[in-house]
Amino acid sequence: MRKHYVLHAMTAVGCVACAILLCAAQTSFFPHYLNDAILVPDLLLCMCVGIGVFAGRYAHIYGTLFGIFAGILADGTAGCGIFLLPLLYVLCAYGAYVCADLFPKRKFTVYLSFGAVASVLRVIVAILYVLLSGGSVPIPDVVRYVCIPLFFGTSIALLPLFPASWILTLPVRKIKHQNIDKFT
Amino acid sequence: MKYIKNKIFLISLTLALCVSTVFSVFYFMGVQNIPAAMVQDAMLPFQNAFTRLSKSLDGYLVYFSNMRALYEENQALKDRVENLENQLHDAELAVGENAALRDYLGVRDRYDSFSVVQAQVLGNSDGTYLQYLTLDRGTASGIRENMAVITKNGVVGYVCEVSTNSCRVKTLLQYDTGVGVYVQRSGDVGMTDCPYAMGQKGLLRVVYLPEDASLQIGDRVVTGDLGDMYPSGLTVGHIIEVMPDVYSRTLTATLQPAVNFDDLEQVFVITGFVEKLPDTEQTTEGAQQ
Repeated sequence: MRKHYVLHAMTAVGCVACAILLCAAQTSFFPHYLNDAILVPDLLLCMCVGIGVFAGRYAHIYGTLFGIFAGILADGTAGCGIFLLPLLYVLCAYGAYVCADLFPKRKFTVYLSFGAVASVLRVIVAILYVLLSGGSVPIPDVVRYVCIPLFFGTSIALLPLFPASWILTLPVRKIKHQNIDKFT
Repeated sequence: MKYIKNKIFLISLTLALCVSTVFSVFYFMGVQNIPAAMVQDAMLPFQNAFTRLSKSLDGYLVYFSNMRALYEENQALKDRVENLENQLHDAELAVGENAALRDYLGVRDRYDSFSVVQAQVLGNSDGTYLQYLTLDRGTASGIRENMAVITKNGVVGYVCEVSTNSCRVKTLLQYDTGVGVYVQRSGDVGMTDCPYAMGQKGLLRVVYLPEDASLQIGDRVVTGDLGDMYPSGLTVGHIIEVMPDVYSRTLTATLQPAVNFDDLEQVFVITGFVEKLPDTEQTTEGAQQ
């Protein structure tokens, strides 16, 4: 029983550290290199989807809590003052959990396909930010400079972030395996 | 249906809704966003670490990836040094002549001194439609809202949000940032503007220039006298294109900003400046007074 607490604590600490590092990287490190490549990946969204898919039976708990925390960090650090990302991340994490639960044997496929769906939702939220912040930005410019880089950046970032989310959720998956062993 | 009625999901969704609503209220009320400032302060050390990391990586990456470009740049720089040495000699003569002419015209340096705070650029607004910079100085260093931010090359923007140890700068490339300017050579007055597409290309434009303004490519555009946010005479950019605006019978000039916004590392926040006026001497500290 005590081992379970340790594994939960490991996952929780890992999630917090991961959110902070990805947020800092997203705002201070990647723009420096990826702006030339015209890609704007939302790493925290990829991680939310990853946790939602791979954290097993605890995915909805860790996914949604990670979503709230990551959303506050992302909007607080690099947002315009409107906080919509906590809501988006929670919905994406839980949606990923539901899809993974419906197709338990195709988790990687679910991760990639739902990640692409989440990227589309992220693009919609980015457009909402533009509209709510009162900017008179022409729609073609929004599509060219926001929607396309955000969609492709996030979709592409799903692949390199797959190992990270898989490793991060390893401790909680271990709990599940132990319990199954005990019952059988 | 069981997924929608899941208690954890409902609690998390409610929590996320509350967070989004409560935190966004600050923005829509137009007051300082305290939660965002706290998050920004907490993230500062991590952003600082990643900024340093990217800087240290920069040197290695440039060395390995741009070897040929570096060689060519080195050759070009050698030629340029030679030219500059010749120009320096001419400039020394011109400085003496210039000083004499200024005394003759009774023109003096308008600003006695700037008091500035040096700040490091820690990050930008994740490359989306916003053109913000995050600096590592805040109210603890005397930074206030609406203070001008410059580099040695020219104007960067102004401080729009401040927390204790950091602040956010709205650059001239943000679509809703405008500055009153004039063309230094001809004295024609206009206002900067940055349509979204131009901002993405790192360009500005000056609008409302008089129809009969004598503008030339390469003219220096500097901040004007109106407004107390920017000291006048700071370089904003150089004209690279002039077009007539048939509807308003004015001219519109495209500017190459003096500052390279993609490569900002160190900036200066003008915390106060002394402006010498013909009759009175006025001290301005940002736009706070």
